[in-house]
Amino acid sequence: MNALRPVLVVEDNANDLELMLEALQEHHLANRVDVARDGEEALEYLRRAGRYAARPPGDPVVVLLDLKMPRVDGIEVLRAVKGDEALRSIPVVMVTSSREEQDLVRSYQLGANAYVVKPVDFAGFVTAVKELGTFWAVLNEPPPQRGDPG
Amino acid sequence: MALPRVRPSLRRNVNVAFGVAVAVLVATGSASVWNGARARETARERARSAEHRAAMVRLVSYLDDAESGQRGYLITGRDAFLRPYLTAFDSLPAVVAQLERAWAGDSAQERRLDALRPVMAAALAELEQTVALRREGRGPAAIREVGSGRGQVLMDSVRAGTAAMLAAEDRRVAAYDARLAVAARISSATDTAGAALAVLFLGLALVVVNRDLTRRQHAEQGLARMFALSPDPMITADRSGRFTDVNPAWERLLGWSVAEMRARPFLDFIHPDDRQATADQFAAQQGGQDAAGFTNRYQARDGTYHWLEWNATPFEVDGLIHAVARDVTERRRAEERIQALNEELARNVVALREVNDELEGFSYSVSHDLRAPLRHVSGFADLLEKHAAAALDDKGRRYVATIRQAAQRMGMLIDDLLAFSRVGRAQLAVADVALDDVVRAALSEVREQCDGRDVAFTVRPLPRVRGDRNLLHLALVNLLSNAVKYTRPRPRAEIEVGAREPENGRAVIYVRDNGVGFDMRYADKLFGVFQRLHSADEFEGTGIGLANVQRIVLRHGGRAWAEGAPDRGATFFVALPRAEAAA
Repeated sequence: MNALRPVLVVEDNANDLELMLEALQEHHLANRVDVARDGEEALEYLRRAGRYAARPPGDPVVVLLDLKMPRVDGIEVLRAVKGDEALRSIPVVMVTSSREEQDLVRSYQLGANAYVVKPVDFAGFVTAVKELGTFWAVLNEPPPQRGDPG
Repeated sequence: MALPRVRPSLRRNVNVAFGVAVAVLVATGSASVWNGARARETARERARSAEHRAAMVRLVSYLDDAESGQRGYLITGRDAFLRPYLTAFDSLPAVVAQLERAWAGDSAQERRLDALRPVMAAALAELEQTVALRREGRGPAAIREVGSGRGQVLMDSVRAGTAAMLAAEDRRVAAYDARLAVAARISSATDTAGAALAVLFLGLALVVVNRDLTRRQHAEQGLARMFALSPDPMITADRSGRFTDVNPAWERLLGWSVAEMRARPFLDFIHPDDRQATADQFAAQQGGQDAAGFTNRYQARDGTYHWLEWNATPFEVDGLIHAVARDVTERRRAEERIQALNEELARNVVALREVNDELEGFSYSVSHDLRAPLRHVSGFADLLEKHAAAALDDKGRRYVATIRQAAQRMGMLIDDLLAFSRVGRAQLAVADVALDDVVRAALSEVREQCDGRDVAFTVRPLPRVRGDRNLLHLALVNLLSNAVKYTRPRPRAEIEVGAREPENGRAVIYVRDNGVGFDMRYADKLFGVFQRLHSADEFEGTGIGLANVQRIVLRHGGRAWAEGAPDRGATFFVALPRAEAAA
């Protein structure tokens, strides 16, 4: 089942996005990877609204959410997801370059499922993404799909 | 002005002395009255005795009259001689009756009177018999009868009896006289003694009162001297708001003379801004309240104002307010200076906080914004290496590797800088900490960095200090890592941790190594951020470790310093507040 559900990557920075996708590819993850370029798009995706009104139903197996984004930032997306009865069971992993304690504490307070600091070196980043992917896309049993009898 | 309190013992002494004097006077007075009554009684009795004696004398005189009348008549036969004789005979019964009445109950005199009565009757009968013979013309028989001496014997017997009675009455009079004399002496003695005692005790009371008055006078003089001597201004003021008394300190302080001070209402001397408060305060004192620490400003003769701090109290006895002031102008100025400094400090704190917030914002964006491009440099260099490995020659591969290494090093620098700023911002969780434990934990961490080198650690007994365990741990890890790092060229590294004698009440510990040491000229650079005395090629690291140590120690209110010489090892010292509780 998990293999059929996509991973949603929310990342505004093109370079980071490319590295992220590269790292996920390195892992040969079977799941499809969907991308939202900012918080607003991420929420539209998740709510199947606006640009994503026509998206077929099905929650992502995990959301990899960048913290610092223009307009609607990661913390606001997290708050919206965890405050929404329909979305709150979707695992959200904060992926960020911030080591600041206040970001970490706030993320966990808002209900983030994990918090990952992007290492400077790419090898470390690949390792981190690989572990993330393995856990959330393969090992973790997600909650049942909305409107999906399976 | 308050005088010493009247001692209760003094009051008692005076009262007792007066009481005793009065009691003595009353006692001697009543004794005198009683004595006088007794003396009057004695005098009355003596007068009665004298009367009885006079009656006795009259009795004897009548008997003599009777006898001499009889003799004259017997010799001459003329009736004229019989007149005293007849008078005596007429009067004698009355005199005897008088004596009987007087001596009723007086057994001795009654007995004598009873004995006298028949003898006297016989003697008188003898006289009557001779007078009767002569009247009958038997003169010679009468003369013979007289010559027989019977009458003479009877008369002598009568005279002896009356003489005894007279003598008894005389003794009695003498006894009364003696008693009266004694009474007079006693009366005079008690009067004298009483008067003397009363005078004594009154004198005593006078002495005590005088002595106290003198003492109070001295005390009053003493207080007056204190009043004059006091360097602090003192006043008394009446209800109208004028000074009634002002001590010379005022003139020394404000330059106004005592007369000038008393001439105007005191509010005139007070700063206009303080007048209302002073008037209110003065009204409160008149209502019976004390004032302590009230302050206002008084104008000196030269126009300047002095801050005065007052203690005042109403005195109900004279209705005046008594008050002492102190010139606190200097203190007020100092307080104003302190307040100004505090305000400036508060402003600086606000400014500092703003700078700090800015710095925090800066370190936050450093953490995000600088790390992201670094990550991209590193990541794409990696990808380049992977994708173009075949196309790159050795030089190209070395370039790529260098790009990656440089990016990594910059990442480390940024991370260290952020960690350093966190050390500065972290809340201190201060407690008593045993440095032995901290060093033990730090050593187990540092040993992993030794990479199989021969490193000998010696740990001497260490004191307990006051501080944040986590930060102290970080400081010791940094110090020990530093020692391990700079002893690398030594075949056998020797690192010693110990305590030195305390400095300014702070515990001092040291970390000594036999490493490459340093030039003391650069000692002040050791603890700077990213300051290094060796190139990164010689010794790895960013140069943040000792800066962290110093920042931690400074935040504990301690200090850190180092001694060393090139190639002869280094010793790092750390002074920290000592633990509060004994170990």
